[in-house]
Amino acid sequence: VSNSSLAQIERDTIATMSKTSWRYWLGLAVSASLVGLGGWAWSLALRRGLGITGLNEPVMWGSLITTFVFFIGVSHSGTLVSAILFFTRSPLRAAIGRSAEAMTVFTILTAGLYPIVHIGRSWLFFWLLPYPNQRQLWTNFRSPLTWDVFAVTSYVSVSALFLYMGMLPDLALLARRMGGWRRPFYRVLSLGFSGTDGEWRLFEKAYPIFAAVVIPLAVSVHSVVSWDFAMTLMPGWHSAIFAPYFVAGAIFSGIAVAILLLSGLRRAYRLERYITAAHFDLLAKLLLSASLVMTFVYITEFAMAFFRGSETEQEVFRWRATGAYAPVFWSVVTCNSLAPLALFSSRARKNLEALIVIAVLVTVGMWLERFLFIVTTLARNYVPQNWGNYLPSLPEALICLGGFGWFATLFLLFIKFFPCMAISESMQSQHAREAMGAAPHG
Amino acid sequence: VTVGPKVRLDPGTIRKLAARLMGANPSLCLGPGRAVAGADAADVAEAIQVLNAVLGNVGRTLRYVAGPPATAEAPMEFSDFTKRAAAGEVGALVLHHADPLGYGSIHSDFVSTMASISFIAAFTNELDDTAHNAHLVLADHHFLESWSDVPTRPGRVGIQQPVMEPALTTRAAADELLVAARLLGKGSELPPPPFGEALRKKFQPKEIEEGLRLTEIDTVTPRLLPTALSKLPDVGGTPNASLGLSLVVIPSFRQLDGRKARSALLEEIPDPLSGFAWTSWVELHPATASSLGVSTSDVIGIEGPAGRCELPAFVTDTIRSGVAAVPIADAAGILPKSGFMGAGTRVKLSPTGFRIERPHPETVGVAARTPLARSIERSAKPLPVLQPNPSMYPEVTHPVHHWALAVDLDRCNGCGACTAACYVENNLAVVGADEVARGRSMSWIPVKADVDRGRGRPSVTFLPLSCQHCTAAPCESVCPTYATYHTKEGLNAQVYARCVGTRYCENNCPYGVRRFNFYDSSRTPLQALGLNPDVTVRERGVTEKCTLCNQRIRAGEEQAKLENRPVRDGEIVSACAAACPTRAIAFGDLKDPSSEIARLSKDGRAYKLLEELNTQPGVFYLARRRGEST
Repeated sequence: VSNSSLAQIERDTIATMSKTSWRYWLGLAVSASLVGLGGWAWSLALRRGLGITGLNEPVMWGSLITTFVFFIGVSHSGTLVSAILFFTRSPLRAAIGRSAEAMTVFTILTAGLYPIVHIGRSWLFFWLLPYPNQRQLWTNFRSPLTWDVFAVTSYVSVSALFLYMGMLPDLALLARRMGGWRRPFYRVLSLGFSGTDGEWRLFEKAYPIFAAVVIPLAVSVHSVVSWDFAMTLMPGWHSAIFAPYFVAGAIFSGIAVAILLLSGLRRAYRLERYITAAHFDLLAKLLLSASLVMTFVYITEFAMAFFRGSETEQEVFRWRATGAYAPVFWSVVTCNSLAPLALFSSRARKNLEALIVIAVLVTVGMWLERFLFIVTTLARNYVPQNWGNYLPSLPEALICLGGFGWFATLFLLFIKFFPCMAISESMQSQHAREAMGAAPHG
Repeated sequence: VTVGPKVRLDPGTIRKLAARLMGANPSLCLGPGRAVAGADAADVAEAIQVLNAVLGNVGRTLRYVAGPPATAEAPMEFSDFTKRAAAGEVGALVLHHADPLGYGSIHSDFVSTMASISFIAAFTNELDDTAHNAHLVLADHHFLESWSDVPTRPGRVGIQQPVMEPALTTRAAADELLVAARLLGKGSELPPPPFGEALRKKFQPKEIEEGLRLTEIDTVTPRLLPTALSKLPDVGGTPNASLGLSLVVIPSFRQLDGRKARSALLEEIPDPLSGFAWTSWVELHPATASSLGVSTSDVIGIEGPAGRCELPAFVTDTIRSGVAAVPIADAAGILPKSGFMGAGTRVKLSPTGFRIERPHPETVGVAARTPLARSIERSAKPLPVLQPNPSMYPEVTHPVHHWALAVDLDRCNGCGACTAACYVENNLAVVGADEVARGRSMSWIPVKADVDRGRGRPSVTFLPLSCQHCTAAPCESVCPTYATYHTKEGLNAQVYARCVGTRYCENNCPYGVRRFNFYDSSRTPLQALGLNPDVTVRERGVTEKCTLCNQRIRAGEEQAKLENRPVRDGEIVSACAAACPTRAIAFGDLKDPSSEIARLSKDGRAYKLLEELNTQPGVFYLARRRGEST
């Protein structure tokens, strides 16, 4: 093992934390401003009421719930992909695992804000939590929203622990390598991890448990979110396909956002050695497969609606493709089903710019897709006399943008305070690679 | 008599109409209502009575009673008055809650009339157009603070008692007049003030308590004189060839002839067919609209003989082509001030290029599917009763009462009185034109219109759509905080204090009857006096909906308990049922086998909305009857 390359890994990773370019400050400023704007828009809602949104009778859920579902979706791939890569012993994990896990935690922390922003009396949000109280009231365990609370809080707890646990060896390393205020900071956070054989043994036992818990949890959490819709009796929502549909959509959007984050990190910190073209090629293939699954789901949804014989449901789907929201529908088809088809070509997969464009389209497409199915069902409900359309208002749009700013701010702060690549794992995989290279003939 | 040339109908059509009228036995001819209350109204009324006499309806479908009409609102008197005023015969005018400048302008040019009267005193509650131009404005008590007696229909006098102390420093108009009479030396013929004491003396204590005096009515049998119909009303008018469409003036449910135009509550309630609230509209046939290149909600300039107005279009096939229909109040500006109102007037329409917002804009042009309002042939079998689907949850039982509503679609005329009564009873917020246009009306029982096009020509059925109080309510299971639940008495209850406003219930209600408080409602202290003290005012951020007037149910049940007896059928009435002028809405206890509602629930016409969703509503509807009666 060459000591110089191990030192290089360590240096490169620490550089992401200690070197701060003007681009970083600009990014942070933009993100923080978005948070400020979104916060101001939310304060409008708190001061005046939800009338500042575009919501109406019949469309009572709109862009805020769309953004909630979107971020829950994005959260998905992070931890899930990281855990799967861990079990498949993929070398990709060392490079992207940490950022993906951080993405998960921060997207859930973002997503979790939206139900609170969206409810009529945000200041009473804790009534959604089951806690012992003097009124002896419990939440309604039949309500999918209560399941949601459990699913999201479990997922954020386990994901945060998974992220933190995986970081322990790195934190211990940083406590030794870095000076100033960071030294006590990392020392406290590393919980006294000192890298003894016994500690590593325990670590290697505990870590797979978390990884194993995270995978079913990731599948369940998005299934539960899908039941917010599927458990209702609304046409276009009440469908058994919703759980797998949401999980697939979550993975799809999550990979797209992961591609965007990784390409950004790689460019900003010259991490081409660690996040290679081969990694992007793998991610592109994953994105393409997820896209094909989504296309299959879209077709199935329509086929089921017309097979089932409910006039109301047929009307919802007919109108989804041809009515007031037809531009949204065809944008979704273009972004999610057609654009990723380009990834069948290896040239497109190898072209990072093209991949970024497709990832952006998918991200936008997935937000629009959630918007589409939420709004069109409500707009075309059972009673034609109640039909009506919805358009987000400006404050609503700002609150949604604020969420993206919030996520970006958290992520940008994270890469300054914590290693965005798993140093110890990178070393292990580097070690393994060199060991294999050194003994090609066994 | 030859009427053909006068009404410009071909003889074949007249004969066909006559044959249908003769074939129906018994029949009844009614006047076209307030819309034709013009100078020829008496002649029209005479023609109608002659028709009834000829058809032998007198004494069968029609009774004549002796005495003056219950309400004197004859436009003839109004126009006579304006003539006398113009001639200088009127020295002083005392107005009592009247705004002739506002809604009277439909009949005459009252501005010049007022100018020719040297003294005008107005008893009023608000500074309307007329009060602004009066010489003396006297602030009268509100009707809730006043005594009065009102003849409601022949044989009935309603006695109105104050229900509250005067909120402001107003004085009763009747007392003012009595005092003035004394000062003028005319007091001896009149009772001494206060007026309330005089009324107490006039009526029996029992009548005061019941608020009603019933008297025998004398039926008279009029004779048909040979001179009848000597003067046929000229309904033809003079068509103005340069102007395009015939104008049809229609009365408005909300404003009558415009006198209610200042009521925010009535403005807030959308017209059940056009869906417009806070604005009037012009009704056009799709063919007419397409020739003009306009669609619903496009604002159209309407030029008539006397002026111009701008109204949004409502395109519907429930009106014939080649005509434009405008509610009375707004037709005032474009109609000439004399003649048979509206008939023969032609108007020119031109698009203005503007559009207005309308709640539920997608309603028009809806593809046919299982309609809300059902109808059955008179000879048809009763509607089937769907059995609830099997459920894994224990069966919901209602041990003592099961309160419910029944709505007879044959009787509903879409007037919206139930809607208005509900606003008042349940402290609903009036949210204003912009919010209603956004689809944020708070109405707990809006009236929906279902247009049936299955029989050649469109036929409209009105349907008040309140919370259906489902036994298997989709809204209840999804509420995370148990803010909504099913009570033992069959109500779908909403606990406002427990609601955090996820609006999940509103999304999962297939009937779309739940409302969300987007803002806090604002009321002046005076307006707050109008709140029902038995009902909470909801804060912003919570969901609300029909409670079946839970406060009335409680009061009735408690009264029965005090008197140690079961609740009597009809003792508790929801506000909507109480207000319904056609008695289309019935309220009662389904568990009481002798109740009216239990009887109706066994009617062959009874059905429930969207029954196939297995929500098991407590509210049910009685389908319309179609076809000839036997």
